[in-house]
Amino acid sequence: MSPVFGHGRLRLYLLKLLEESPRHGYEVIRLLQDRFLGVYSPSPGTIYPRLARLEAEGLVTHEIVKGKKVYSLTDAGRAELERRMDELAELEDEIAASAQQFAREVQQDVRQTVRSLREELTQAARTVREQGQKASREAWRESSETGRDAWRETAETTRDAWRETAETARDAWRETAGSTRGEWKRQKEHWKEQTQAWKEEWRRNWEDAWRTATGSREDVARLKLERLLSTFVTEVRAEAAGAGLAEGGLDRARAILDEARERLLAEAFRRPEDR
Amino acid sequence: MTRWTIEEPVELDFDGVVTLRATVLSGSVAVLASDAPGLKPSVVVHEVSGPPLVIVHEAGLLTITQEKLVENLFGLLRAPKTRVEMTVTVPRECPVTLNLVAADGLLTGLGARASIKSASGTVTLDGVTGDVDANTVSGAVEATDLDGTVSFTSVSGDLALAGGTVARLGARTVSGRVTADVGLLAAGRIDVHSVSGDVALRVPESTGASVALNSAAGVIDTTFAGLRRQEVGIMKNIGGTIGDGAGRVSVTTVSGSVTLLGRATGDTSEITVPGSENPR
Repeated sequence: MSPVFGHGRLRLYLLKLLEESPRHGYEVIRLLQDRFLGVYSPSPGTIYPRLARLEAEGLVTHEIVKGKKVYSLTDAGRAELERRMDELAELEDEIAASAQQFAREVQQDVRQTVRSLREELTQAARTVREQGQKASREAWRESSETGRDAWRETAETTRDAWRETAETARDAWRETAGSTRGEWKRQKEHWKEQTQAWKEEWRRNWEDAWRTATGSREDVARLKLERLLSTFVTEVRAEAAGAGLAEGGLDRARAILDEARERLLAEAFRRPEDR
Repeated sequence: MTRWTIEEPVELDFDGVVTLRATVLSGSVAVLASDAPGLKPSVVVHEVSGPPLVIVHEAGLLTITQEKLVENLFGLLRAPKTRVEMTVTVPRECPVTLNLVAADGLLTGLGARASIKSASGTVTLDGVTGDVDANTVSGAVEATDLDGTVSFTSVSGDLALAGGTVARLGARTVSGRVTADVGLLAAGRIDVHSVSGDVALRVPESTGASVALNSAAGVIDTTFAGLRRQEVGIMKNIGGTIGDGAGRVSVTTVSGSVTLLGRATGDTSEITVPGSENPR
């Protein structure tokens, strides 16, 4: 795919918009929507990185007004715009008929945004991982150093204390052993349940993934039906939450659902003998 | 009913399009949705090679297909000669169905439901606020600023979402990567299942949700300090509650890595692009 405008048709237009008057990002987006008859409706994810790039190149600058960044053209930007005046005129002529090109620009922008997001998140994940390891290593070192000094001091007192407590502890242990065993048992039950639940979820995931990838037509159709049904329920629930529901309405709802089920049976599903 | 058979570049205008359904083997389709006054729904065909394009407009339903689709599908496998390039403009509230084989699809500004199937074509979405349902085999879905409900299924295709606030994000893939930087509506849900694809999610730090990140062989990490790490047998898990716990974030993988990051509140409006400060 050859980029029709090479690098930066939208860029040129951004410069033009900022030359007319300093504007903030949202205003730029709205103006672009207006001027391109709404055919091209850029998103903040498209415009802000571009403005940032222009700023990095020294063509625009910004100041904060009422908490918003207001961008304006620098002298370098004005010079660039003047140099490309012909190009700009051409651009304005073509705007009405250039849906395809804008589609391409959008596509490139989305692609670039997505690619940098991916890089950023991968990098962030790596940092989290490294920090996690470093933090635990440092915590360990710190505790072992302070631990050594403290140890000498406390060792003696501890020894005495130990002797004292050992006896009381022995009694206490005998008492608590009974209850601890109960607690332990409960914990084990809990784990068992958890593991069961996970296993259950895993099985479902695998089955779905497997069926989507390799299943017969009917399996896939059934899976889709499941999904349709569950989205239907979620959607209805969400809508019902927003509306009032009286006694009469409930009866009506039941009637509609019954009718829907009968119609599904009659019109959408094949009976076993038809196959 | 009006029917056109198109063999060369052409521009068509329509009165009243309420639904669009397009099936394309290879090439590209761009669908631009807009409610700008004076803008009529239109189809601009930039290129057709191979079998002619058939466009049917009937009772508001606009259907675009290629002649002898099935035969050509097999023909495509032998010799990729067929190619269509077109741009379609529709009203914002027009549900769109795209069936792509090897063609790339672009969808921007749509406020209605988008349903997309693609085998190997890349699907690009920008500013779609309607519900999105995308199924691909190896095709990637790349999107910025989606609002609403997103449902994604793929075998090896990647999913990437940058920006937007979702009520529900459901993704299932075998080996595709899932990358998302999104906000979550109150009581919204994110559900990701992957076998070997890596999953990286970033949500605002203020998000309220119950979290369950599970993996058997993958690495799990998070920047949310309030979540607890557990290991049961070979299963690793990070779980707990963040914020008010109204929504839900659940990720399950077999061998893919899982990362859940928090985005500091305040830089929601601007996505920082690494490299944009120092152009390469």
